Amino acid sequence: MEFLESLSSIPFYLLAAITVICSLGMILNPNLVRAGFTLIGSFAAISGFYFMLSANFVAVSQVLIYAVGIVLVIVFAVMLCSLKEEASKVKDYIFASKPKAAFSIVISALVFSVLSFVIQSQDWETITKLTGASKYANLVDMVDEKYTSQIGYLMLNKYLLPFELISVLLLVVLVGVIILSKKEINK
Amino acid sequence: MEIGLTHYLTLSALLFSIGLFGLLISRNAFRVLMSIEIMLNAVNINFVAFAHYIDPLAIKGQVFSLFIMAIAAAEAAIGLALLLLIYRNRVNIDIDSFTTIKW
Repeated sequence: MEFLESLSSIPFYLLAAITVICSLGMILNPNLVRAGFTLIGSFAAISGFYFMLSANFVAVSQVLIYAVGIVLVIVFAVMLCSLKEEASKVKDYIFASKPKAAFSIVISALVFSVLSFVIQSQDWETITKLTGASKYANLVDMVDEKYTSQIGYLMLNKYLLPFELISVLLLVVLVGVIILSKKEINK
Repeated sequence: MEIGLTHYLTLSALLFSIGLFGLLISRNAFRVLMSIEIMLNAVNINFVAFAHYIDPLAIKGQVFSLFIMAIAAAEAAIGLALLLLIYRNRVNIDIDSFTTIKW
């Protein structure tokens, strides 16, 4: 029985390894286009976490928006800039300035240690019990398939104002990007 | 050991630190944008994990993470348009060289 329980944690650690390795690979890979495609692996593994957390709709949107949309746009922009000479110039950027590399490693390690200290100092099991998530544990399986329809309902009722604001924001972004990227006409 | 909320929070903290590391160490502006996407994803994992373990009935975390995705898409579009504009004017996207408005 314990063996079976330990077996159930394998997908989590597998996905975590893929996510962390792909993210680090994105930062350390000198080739920008390859770095962009490495990002797809990271985002796909994160969508696997969403499936494990029974957030099906969020997982599918993750694949659609991040793994395909944003990465593709970034990679196309990289290709438009055709940074062949540029890439070789900043190839060994990690070792280009050692103080900067040491500074970034120290800062990110500090942030991680502070965050993990805060996480470890909370008794999450008690909090989960207090908020009653375990009370609904058997109910969750029933709700599970209804999450997608519930999200649609919430978006058009309780969160209607932020939903509309997001659509206005996307319209503004669309117009702004067209204005920014169109060629200037010389008078 | 069963996978709980702590695992997801720690993973999210690790991803956030990796994104911060990439943000600080990169000299290429495109890589800075990609690191920001990684950090936004770390935050999203937090939201969905909280929605699953603490708030499984109202799922506010899932809705909020969808809003964050829309904001991230907008941010990537604007950022890339600005980068292409800078590249067109200067043929250089090294972030250390953007010093025109340095006081």
